[in-house]
Amino acid sequence: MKIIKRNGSEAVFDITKIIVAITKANNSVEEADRLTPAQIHEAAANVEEKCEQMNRAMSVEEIQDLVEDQIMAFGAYALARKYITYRYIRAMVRQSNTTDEQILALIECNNEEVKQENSNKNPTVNSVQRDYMAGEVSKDITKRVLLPKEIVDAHEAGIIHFHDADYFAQHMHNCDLVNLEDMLQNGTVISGTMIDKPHSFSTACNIATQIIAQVASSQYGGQSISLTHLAPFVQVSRERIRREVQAEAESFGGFASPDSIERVVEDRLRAEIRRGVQTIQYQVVTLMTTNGQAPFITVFMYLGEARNEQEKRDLALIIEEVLLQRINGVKNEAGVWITPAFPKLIYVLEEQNIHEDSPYYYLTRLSAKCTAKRMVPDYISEKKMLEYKIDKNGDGHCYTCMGCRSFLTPYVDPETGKPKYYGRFNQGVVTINLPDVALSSGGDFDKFWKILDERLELCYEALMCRHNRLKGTLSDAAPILWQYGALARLEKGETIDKLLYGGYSTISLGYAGLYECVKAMTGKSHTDASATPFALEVMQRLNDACAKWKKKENIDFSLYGTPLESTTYKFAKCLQKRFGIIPGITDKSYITNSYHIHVTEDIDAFTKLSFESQFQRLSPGGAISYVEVPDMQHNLEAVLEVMKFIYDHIMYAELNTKRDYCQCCGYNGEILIVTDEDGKLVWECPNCRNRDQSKMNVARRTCGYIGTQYWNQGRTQEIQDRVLHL
Amino acid sequence: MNYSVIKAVDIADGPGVRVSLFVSGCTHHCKGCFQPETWSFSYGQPFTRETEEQLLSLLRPPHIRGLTLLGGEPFEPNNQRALLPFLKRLRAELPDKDIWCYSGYTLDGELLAPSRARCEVTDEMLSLIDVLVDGEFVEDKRNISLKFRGSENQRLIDLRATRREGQIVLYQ
Repeated sequence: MKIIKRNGSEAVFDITKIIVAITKANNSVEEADRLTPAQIHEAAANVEEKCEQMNRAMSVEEIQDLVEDQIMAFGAYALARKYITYRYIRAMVRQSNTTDEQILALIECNNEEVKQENSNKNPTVNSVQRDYMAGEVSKDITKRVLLPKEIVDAHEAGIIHFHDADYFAQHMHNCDLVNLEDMLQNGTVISGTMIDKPHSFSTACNIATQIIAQVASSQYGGQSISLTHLAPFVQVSRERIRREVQAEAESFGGFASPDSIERVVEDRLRAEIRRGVQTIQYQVVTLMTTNGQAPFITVFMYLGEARNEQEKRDLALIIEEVLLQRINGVKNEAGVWITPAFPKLIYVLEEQNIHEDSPYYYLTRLSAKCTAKRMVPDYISEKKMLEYKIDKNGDGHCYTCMGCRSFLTPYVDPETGKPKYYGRFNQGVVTINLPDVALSSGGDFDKFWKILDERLELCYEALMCRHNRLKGTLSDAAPILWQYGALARLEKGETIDKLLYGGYSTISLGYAGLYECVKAMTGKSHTDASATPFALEVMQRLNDACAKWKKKENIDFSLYGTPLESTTYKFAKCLQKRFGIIPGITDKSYITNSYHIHVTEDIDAFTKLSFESQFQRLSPGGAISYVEVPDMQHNLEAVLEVMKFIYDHIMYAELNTKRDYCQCCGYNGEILIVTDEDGKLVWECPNCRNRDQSKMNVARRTCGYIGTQYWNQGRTQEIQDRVLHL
Repeated sequence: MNYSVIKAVDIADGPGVRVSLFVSGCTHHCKGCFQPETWSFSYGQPFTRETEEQLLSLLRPPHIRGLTLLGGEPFEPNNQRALLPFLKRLRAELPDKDIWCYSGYTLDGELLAPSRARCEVTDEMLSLIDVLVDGEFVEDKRNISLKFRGSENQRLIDLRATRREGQIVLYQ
């Protein structure tokens, strides 16, 4: 007979442990109140018999309940009291030390869960371990003190996922669009030091990097900046350089034609742009924030944002330089150029760059080359976005997501009457596990909708916990964000509350596993024409819930296709525990992200993008579609064809290419996933069979960002299962 | 003529996104051929009017750049005779699409000179093709990093430019 220990592992039932426990308690009471050894053996035997009758593995707590019953059945009340008190004290000790084991395990690098938690963090280095220790404490406090029990239970059962509990103890928000323009033009304060408006492009880049680092340390999610906000400083530099060159020319005493002066000026300007862009690239990948990782930063490249033709030309110069430097890559420790994970780049496809005769088509070609080699940029279609993101004045807007995929809602600033995007943010995410709803309903549609509504109510309560955690936060918690312009310019000591309402910020209902949900209910993939309407109906219901909450709370709830980076494994394990192995639904160690088509489904890139587009429209809080492609560096025309298709059909999409590097043999291509002797999935160089992860550079897109630090077993299996769409 | 497979989206056999048709029957029998089962003229299924319709509808979307013929050997005389009417039809119905063709026969050595490949329709067939990838696959000259071809001896010939200039012009 087996029992379940407190840590979840199985052990063989051992009657002597019960005898020892009762005997210990027995010896500590007055002699008159004691049981005889024979009575103790009888009590223990009775417990064993009752356990056997249960026909399942009993937990330690259940067995202790039986022991108490037995002691009381013998009338030994003093002994029972002792036993119960001892049990209670032990439970208290365990409660107050819930984090010890996890923390010690992560410091000794044995904590498998933490090891594979985040593909952008390296858990063996001290600074990351400090962040993880803080995370364990935060998770513990969140679980025991900050959240209601029903939400903790639902989170642990995998019915919902309460994201970022490792930061929830603090008053932190998720992600945002940094108002770099305000900070650069009007000055800011970094760590108590006044920073004025910069006098050159390269200084502006330097300040931007400092801002990025500070912002990243003040929140847990991603941030985005726009190159447009740096563009005015190109002209500032140009004028300064021109003055210098003219002065130099005069000092030489010879005649210099205006043309030749301009040539020198533009050459020097290019060199300055190169330096500035390089500063951002290198600082961002080498910085380690207080969150133990490089800042999750997205750089937005959108010509349509420029306010005049001069600024647009200057912006184009910056974009070109960013792309050229990304094509080069950054050097790994062996000195080989590889794909960096950050900054993530987003390039907007628009009329002025998408057609072969468009003025900025050369940038789009360069962008295609960059994507083929470095997986980024990702693409936003201005055309589709203007159709989808319409504000209350009826105007469409095109803007970047916050970090990897979270999109703000369209918003008009009530004070200025103008649209506002930079400076806004997301309060946080709670995700609903859709396959669990389907399997809990047993395939009954009436039950499905009823359970969905109940689970959504739970999500609402959990999201309000997030919101309430931010409510009352003082601007002093993160001066760079709330006082010095990144998100607002509030007074010292002022709360951020006014920014939480009326649509200034958003809060996200995440969803995962639409594919498995539809499959469990209809027996078909959601790409099957007979199942698609149900899939769309589920999406609509989730949107309706957000609309209802928004009305009630005056907060912009928005539906969000959760990245689910490591949570995919947790959800899959929880589903298996709750429902067993169901072929095609719970038989993998991952579940499908958001509305995505299952990674193993045979479908071409174009069909996939146009099918998923209808779901992206219903995922206004954020989502990204991808196509999995082979090495396409020989066929940029095909890359461009996919980009043109994105422009016409889908708002936000990316191409997943594969270019890894083996440091043992120098192989440059796709490194494969194989199963080792213990059934574990490991990475292996197909050329020299190297399996040492520390001697290879693997970059895969798993959540909208590129990860370079490997993934948990569930996500690794998902990566292995991916089929090509071209 | 029989064919073995139609790829609805192909990015490996010519620029852009293409539809490719693998015809059956080949008399080269190159060492290291990646699909020797297609040497037999009776391999796969018959190329019919329905196959033509299927190809045309696959080629129609704007993101499809053109058609690539592979094999097998499209320039075996029987295959040429079967392909010619379809290529004419393709040119008439979808004039914007380009046509690429892979052949183990060399242009100047075999297709334009007396050989077992050259027949009464060869010149017309060549006149409908934009780019010819010519030459047998030679295992010793295999190089996986080459663009759109398998071995170093193979050439990407721009047939339009070649016709215009009267000498072999390679595709850039």
